[in-house]
Amino acid sequence: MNKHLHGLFVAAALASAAQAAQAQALSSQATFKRYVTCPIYRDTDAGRKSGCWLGTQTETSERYDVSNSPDKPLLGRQMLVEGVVSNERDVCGAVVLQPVRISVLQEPCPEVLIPAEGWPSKPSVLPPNVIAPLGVPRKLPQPPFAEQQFHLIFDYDSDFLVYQSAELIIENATLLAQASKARRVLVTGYADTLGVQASGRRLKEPLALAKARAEMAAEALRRMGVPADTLQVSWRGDPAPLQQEAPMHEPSKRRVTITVQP
Amino acid sequence: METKTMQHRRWRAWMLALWLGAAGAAHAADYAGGERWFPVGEGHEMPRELRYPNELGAVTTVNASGPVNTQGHAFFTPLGPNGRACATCHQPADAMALSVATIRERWNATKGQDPLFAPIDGANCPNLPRGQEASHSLLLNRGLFRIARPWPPRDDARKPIKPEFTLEVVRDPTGCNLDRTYGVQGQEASVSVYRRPRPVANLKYILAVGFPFDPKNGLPLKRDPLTGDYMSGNLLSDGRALTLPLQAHDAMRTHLQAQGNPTPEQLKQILDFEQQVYSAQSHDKWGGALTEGGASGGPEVLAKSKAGVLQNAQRNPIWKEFLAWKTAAPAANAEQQKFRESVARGAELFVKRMFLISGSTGINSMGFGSPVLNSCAMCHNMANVGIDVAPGQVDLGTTNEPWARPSPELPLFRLTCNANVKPHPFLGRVILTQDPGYALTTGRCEDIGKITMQSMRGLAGRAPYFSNGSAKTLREIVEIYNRRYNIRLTDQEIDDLTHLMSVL
Repeated sequence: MNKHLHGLFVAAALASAAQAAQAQALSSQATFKRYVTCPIYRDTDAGRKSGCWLGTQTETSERYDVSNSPDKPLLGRQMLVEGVVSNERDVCGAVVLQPVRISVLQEPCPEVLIPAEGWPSKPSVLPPNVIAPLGVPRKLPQPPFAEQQFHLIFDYDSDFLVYQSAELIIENATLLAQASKARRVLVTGYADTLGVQASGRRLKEPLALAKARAEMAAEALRRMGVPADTLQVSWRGDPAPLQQEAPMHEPSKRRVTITVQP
Repeated sequence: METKTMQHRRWRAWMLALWLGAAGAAHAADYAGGERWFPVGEGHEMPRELRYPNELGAVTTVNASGPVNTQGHAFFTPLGPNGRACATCHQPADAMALSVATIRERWNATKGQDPLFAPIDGANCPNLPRGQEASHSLLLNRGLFRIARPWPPRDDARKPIKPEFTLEVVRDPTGCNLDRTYGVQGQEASVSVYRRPRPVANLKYILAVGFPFDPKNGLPLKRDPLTGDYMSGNLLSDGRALTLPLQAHDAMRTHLQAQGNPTPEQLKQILDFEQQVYSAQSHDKWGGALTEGGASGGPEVLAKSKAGVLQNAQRNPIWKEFLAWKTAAPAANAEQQKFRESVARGAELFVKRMFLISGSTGINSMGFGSPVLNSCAMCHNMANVGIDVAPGQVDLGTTNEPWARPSPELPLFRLTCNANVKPHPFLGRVILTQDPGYALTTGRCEDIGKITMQSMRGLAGRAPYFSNGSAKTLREIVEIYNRRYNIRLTDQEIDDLTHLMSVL
C-alpha cells in the first residue's frame, strides 16, 4: 500500500471513529428505548388515521406513544419498539417517542383497545417524503453526477417496503440512475444477524432476510425503471449501523443500501 | 304508511313518466318496453345511448364514440365453439355486467339452452347434465360463473409458482374440485371458484394509474411488457390478467372456449369498444333524473371526467356529484326531496363517517395498523367510480372464514401456510376460505381471500354483489360492512348509504 493510500485509510478510519463517537454522544444525550410489548390502541378521533398507538415498557412501567412510527402496530401481536424519548406534546396519554420505529412480531397478545379518556390525539398528516402522483412531472437530477447511496431501513424480521416511507427513496435512486445513465446500481441487503437485546430477548435476523431485502429492493428498482442489466445484487449479515441515523442508528443495520454509480 | 299496492302504482306511474321522458330524447334508445337482452351475433346496431329500466330506476349505457355496428363485431359475435360472445355476459341493461335477474330471464326464455349456460363455466361443473336447473344452480341463484384457476398458480410467464400454502378441499358441493378431470388433483389440476362477472364499462377508470407504487404489495406497480406502462392492477378480481389484451385472451380461451387468441383485428375491435363504453344508473324511481336538481350522476359525466383522481375529503370528496341534493332547489315533490336529501347524506357519510377498520389484509397489513380509523372513502377513493387508486386487493371477509356468509352451496378450502413463511397477518397459519382470491394468482399466504374491489357504478342494474354474490341487495352490502367493522350505523344511515349506492 502506498503512503498516499495509507493516509487516506487512516483519515477515513479517524473520521469513522469520530462519527461513531459523535453518534454515541448523541445517543447518550437522547434517551433511546428498545423493548418488546403488546400494543394498545387508544380510540381517539381527530379525523382519519388519528388513533393513538401506545406501548408500555413493562420493565419500567413507562407508557410511550409510538404513533409516529412509519409502520403501525397490529392489535393482538407483540411489537418491538425502538425510539427516542422526545419533548413532543402529549396528546395520547403517554410520553412521545420521536423518531420511533415499531416492528410487528409474530407472538400473540391480548387485543387491548381503550377509550379516548379525554386525550385529543392529533390529525394525521402526510409525511413530507411521499411519492407524487404520476401526473406530476419528475425533476431529473442534473449533472455533474456523483456516486450516491440511498438507504432503505426495514422493520425487524421484515422485507416489506412500507408505503409513505420507502417509495420516494426508491424513486430518487431510480431517477439518478436514469439521469446519469448509471453504469452500475449496487443493491446490498443487510440483516442484523448478531441481533439486539430487548426485554430479555435476543432478536436476531437470519441471513436469508438480507437476501430477501436485497431482492425486494432490486425488484422495486426494476419496476421503477432501472435497467436490469445495471443491477448488482448482494447481501450480508452483521453490518455496521449508519451513524448518520443516530440516535436511531442500530435499527439501520436492517437495511438495503443502493449505490448508484454514474 | 304507504301500502305495497300504492307503492306499485306509484312505481308504474313513475316508470311511465320515465319512458315518456326517454321518448322525448331523440338520441336515446329506450328499451323499457322491449327486450332487455341485447342479442349476440345478430348484427343489431347498438345506439349511442341505451336506457333500460330496473327495479330502482334506469341504467344508461353510452357509447361515447357513437353507435356501434355489431354486425360481425368481435365483442358481439361468438368467437368460439360454444356460441358465446363477450356481450353474452356483459349486457347494456345490466351496466355491462350481468344480473341474476337477467340470467333467470334468459334461462326461462331459452329453457336453459342459451350459450350463457355453457357447461364449461355456466354449470356448477362441466360434467353435470346440461339443461337441469340443479346443474346451474350457482349461476341461476347467485349469478356465479365457475372460474378454474390453475393449481399450482402460474406466474406472468405461465410458469408454475411454488405456493406458500397447501390447499385441501374441505367441502365440494359442486363436485368439481374433487373431480378426476376438473379437480385440484385432476387431469386439468385446477381450483374451481365461483364469481360474478365484472362490468365492462368505465374502463378508463379501472385502468387508470394514479401513483406508481402499490402500497399493498410494497412494490412499484408491474409494467405492461408491451408498452412499458404501469398497470393498474384493478381489472380482475384476482389480478390474473392486468391488461385488456391479456384479459381478452384469457376470456377467449376460458369463457368462449376458443382455440388460440383473437386476431389482431378482432382484438382491436374488442378493445376499442371496451374503452369507449360507459354505464351508470341515470334515473331513480324516487329521485328522478340523476342529472337534475344540481346532481351530476349518470354515464355522460364519466365519459368526460378525468380518470385516476384521488378523492379528497375537503377539496374533492367522492360522490360530490350528489352533494347538491342536500341544499339544491326544491324537488318536484316531498318524496323526491326526501330521497335526494338521503342520497346527499349518504355521500357525506361515505367520506366522513369514521369507524375502526381492522383485521383486513390489504388495508391493515400495509403499514396503517390494525385497527385504523377511517371511512368508506379510505379504500373507495377514486373519484367518479369508487375503486382504489392503488390496486384494490383487499380481504373484507367476503370469502374467508370466519367472516364469510355461510354458503353450503359453495366449496370450502383449507389453506395451510408453510412453516417457512409468516402466517397470515390476521387469520393464522390455517385458513378456511370459499375462494382464495388473489392468492391463486400470487401463491402468497397473505393474499388468501383478497379480492380486487370493483367499480361502484351501475350497481342497481347488476345484483347480487361482491365477487361471490353474497349480498343480494344494496342494503345487504351496507349491513355486511356494518357487521364486519362494527360501525353501528343507524337505520337512517343504512338507508342513506343504500340510497347513495342505488343512484351510482
